[in-house]
Amino acid sequence: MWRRIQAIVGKEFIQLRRDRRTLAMMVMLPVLWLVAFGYAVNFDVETIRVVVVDEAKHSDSASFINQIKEEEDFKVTEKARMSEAKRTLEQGKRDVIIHFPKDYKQFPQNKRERIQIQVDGSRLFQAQSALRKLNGVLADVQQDSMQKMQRELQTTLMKSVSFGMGMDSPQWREMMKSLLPEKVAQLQKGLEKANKEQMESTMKRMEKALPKMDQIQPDVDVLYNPDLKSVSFMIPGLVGLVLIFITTLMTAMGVVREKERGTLEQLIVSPVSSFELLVGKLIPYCIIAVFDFLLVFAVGVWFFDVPFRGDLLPFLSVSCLFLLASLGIGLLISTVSQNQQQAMQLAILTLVPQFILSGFVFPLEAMPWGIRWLSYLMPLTYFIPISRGSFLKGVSPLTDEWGILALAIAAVLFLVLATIRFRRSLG
Amino acid sequence: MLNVKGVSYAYRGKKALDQVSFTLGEKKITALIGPDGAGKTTLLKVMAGLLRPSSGEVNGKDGMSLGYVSQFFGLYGEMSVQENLHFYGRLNGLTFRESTQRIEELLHWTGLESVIHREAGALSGGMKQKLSIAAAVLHRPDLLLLDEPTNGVDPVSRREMWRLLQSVAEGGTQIFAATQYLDEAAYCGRVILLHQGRILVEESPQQLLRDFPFRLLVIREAGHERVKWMDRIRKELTTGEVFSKGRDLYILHREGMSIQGRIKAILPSDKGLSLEEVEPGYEEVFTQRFQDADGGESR
Amino acid sequence: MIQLQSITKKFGDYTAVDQVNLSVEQGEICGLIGANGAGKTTLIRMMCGLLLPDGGEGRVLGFDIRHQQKAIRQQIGYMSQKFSLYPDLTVEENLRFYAALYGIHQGLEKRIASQIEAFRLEEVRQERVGRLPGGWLQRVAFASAQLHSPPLLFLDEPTSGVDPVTRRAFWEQLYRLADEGTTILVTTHVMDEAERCDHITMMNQGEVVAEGAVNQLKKEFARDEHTPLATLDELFIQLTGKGDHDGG
Repeated sequence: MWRRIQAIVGKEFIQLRRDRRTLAMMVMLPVLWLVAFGYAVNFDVETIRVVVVDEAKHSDSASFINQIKEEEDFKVTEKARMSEAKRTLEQGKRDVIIHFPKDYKQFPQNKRERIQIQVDGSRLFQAQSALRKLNGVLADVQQDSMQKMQRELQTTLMKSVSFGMGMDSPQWREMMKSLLPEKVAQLQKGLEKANKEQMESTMKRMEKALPKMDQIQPDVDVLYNPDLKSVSFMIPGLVGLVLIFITTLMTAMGVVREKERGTLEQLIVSPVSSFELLVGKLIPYCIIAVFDFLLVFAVGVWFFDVPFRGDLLPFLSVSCLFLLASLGIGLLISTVSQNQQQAMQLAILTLVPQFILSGFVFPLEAMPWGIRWLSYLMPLTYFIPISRGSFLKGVSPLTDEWGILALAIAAVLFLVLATIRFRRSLG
Repeated sequence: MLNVKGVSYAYRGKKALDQVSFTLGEKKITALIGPDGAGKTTLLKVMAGLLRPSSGEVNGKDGMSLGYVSQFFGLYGEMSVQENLHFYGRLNGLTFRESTQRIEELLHWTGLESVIHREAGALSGGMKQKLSIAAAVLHRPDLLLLDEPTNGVDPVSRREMWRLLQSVAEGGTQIFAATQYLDEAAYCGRVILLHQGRILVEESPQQLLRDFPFRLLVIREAGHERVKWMDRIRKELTTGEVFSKGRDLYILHREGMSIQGRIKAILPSDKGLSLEEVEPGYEEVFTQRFQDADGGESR
Repeated sequence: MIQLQSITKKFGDYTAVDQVNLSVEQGEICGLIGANGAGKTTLIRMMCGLLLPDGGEGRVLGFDIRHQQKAIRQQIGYMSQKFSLYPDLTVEENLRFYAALYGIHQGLEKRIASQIEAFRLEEVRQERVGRLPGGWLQRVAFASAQLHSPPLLFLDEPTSGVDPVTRRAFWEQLYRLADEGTTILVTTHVMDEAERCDHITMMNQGEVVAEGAVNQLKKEFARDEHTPLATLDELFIQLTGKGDHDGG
């Protein structure tokens, strides 16, 4: 039995070695994806190009603008009119317009007095990070001006307290003249003390009433992916995607190619059993898939600095389960297809939804229920959280019992179905 | 001894094989002759175990080793001649040493020695066929099934192919080969004529030739008047067959009927047309059988 | 009808057709014989105006094969080995399609009716071509190839694979057309088809190795004067030597 399996495995490798295009695809595809998802599909926006239109032209708006200019991430230009600013947005030269209307006030009472911000929503990621950053800056600016206001309030209050006592008034001075100098000093001291106490209590009350400015901003602390880098988010998903793409495509092609060329008949007529044939065909694809898996893993960890915080061994074993499930899918496709073209179409038909619906890019939670249950039919949906957990959180994959169970069911189901179909197609 | 018993095969409501029965006996080479669509491939696949018959059975295959050469090149084009042969050797349970030794023998015997390292896909049609046969007989099977091994092959390679098969048969292998070339019957100990899924005749070809109850007359160089004469002779003779082949006109008639005089009377004397009698060949024999099976519907 | 003088075609270093001369008279059935790769298809493609020769001159139906390809294609009929029919159209729809392709408007109905009758296609008229067995396909393909009554017909292995009875009947159709003046060029590697031609040109590795009337050639290459070769197989074996031993 081993001799025949060996013969088939050997043959597959000879074929692979000769079929440069397929081989190249299998090595290049993961690398290409890594580059694409690691660099090109970068959802992090570095600089935000801002155009400012200042129609208010007073000190408040000017100081605001100065503050924005000091921000590192903003590249600011000014335009005199809104229409010009809009054009730069349309042409994609700028990401955001900050507009100070004529009636702009630092502490607006109505809409006309407020800052207006316009963002190019057609470039989703730029818009989102522009808004995020702008909100930060606005909060800073507001905090500053609030603090300024507070200080101003304090000084006016101080003034008004002493003024209320009338210590600088002419009557007071007259009264003082009629008193003994020691008494005056004593009285003054006492009054000042009382004044001070009163003022302090007023201040305290005021402080309580006014929001504490440094407390306004929420204290955000990013866990697991502290830099919020897309790469760190993508690579763990990519590991799964590469596995499923390579195995599904290769196995789907593998059997049907022999069917199409007529070589399958030769194999059936020979003493090789369908089990031996199956095993012999799957082993090479497993090896290649594992190689690709390790390739993506290594490049992710060493080149893109994606952390791997979990345990390697449990993760590898869960990945194998996932691998078996995708081999099963590929094999099933191969047995129901008549030719390579059909197999290719079917493979794409199963792969593209997994790409979109598995949570690889788009969050599962954002999908409506009708679509989400489709997601739950796909092995990749279960593998991605496990992979992300292992990479980023350091969670052992073994804690996700339901995910593992789902993967195990998928592996058994697809492999058994494929084997039954395969045996039947052999007659 | 392989015994095919009442085998029928239907595909999408169409009967490809209809109650086919025969036994492969002591005759070493059997030709399965029939046109495209007669059911040759289906019958071979049933015999090879690639198709399950709708009814009937194939007996006596237990413990019999099998070689099968399909109509299409069933080897791996991107692998070399040697790699292909090794693969099939191992698949059939030969050890590396056994397989190496056998390959050497076969390469010598098929004349493929000079191309052992060439990719199988780059071989010419005739060499591909030889390689397919070599791969199928590596393990010295008891029965070798071949589906049109000479289709699309030039006459030179065809003749070599049959010589090869004859020597395989001498080595103790039963050969069952489908072909659409009627003249290849000459290489076989027995022919089975298949027509629309049914066996028309099963006999030794020499016997068929001997039993053929027709004589063949030929008018040489009828040239561009062949159709004209053909129509006239048909009108004159109500039985027999008149057909043209190239510039010659053939008249097939039942033995014992003297028609030469009647035909000579039709032909003009000034054109120098002569009437001669020739030996009918396999083509005439089989065509006649097929025509009888069609019930004369075709004419 | 066809005159070719030293036609040559190269693909890179490979000479597919080497200095071929060919002359076919009206009403003749000429066979272009050779193994696969002998250069038959390349030669045919040049005659149909689908490929330009690298050297030599040629006229087909009086038109220059270098400059008047369009006129040639309008006038010829072509039936390929694969029978260029649409499997998802019915027999009649296929015929109508080819009629439209060649711009037959006048007497279209009559023409189609006569073809259907001549090739006994009445019972399969409304059948999808893809569901017909091989023998029918060949008839439908031939009916559509000469729907526009071309004076010159190119046929690529028209009867390989059909049963001998159908083959004989098909060739009778060809003889009728030829005797009425249609010129027919058949390419084939099957000697049984070659035997049925009036005249053959045998090619090997791009070159013409023999040319002449079939009966003439059988006499010419006979081992002794009185017994001509029985089949063209023997002629082929003599002329191409070892066949394709070297795999070239």
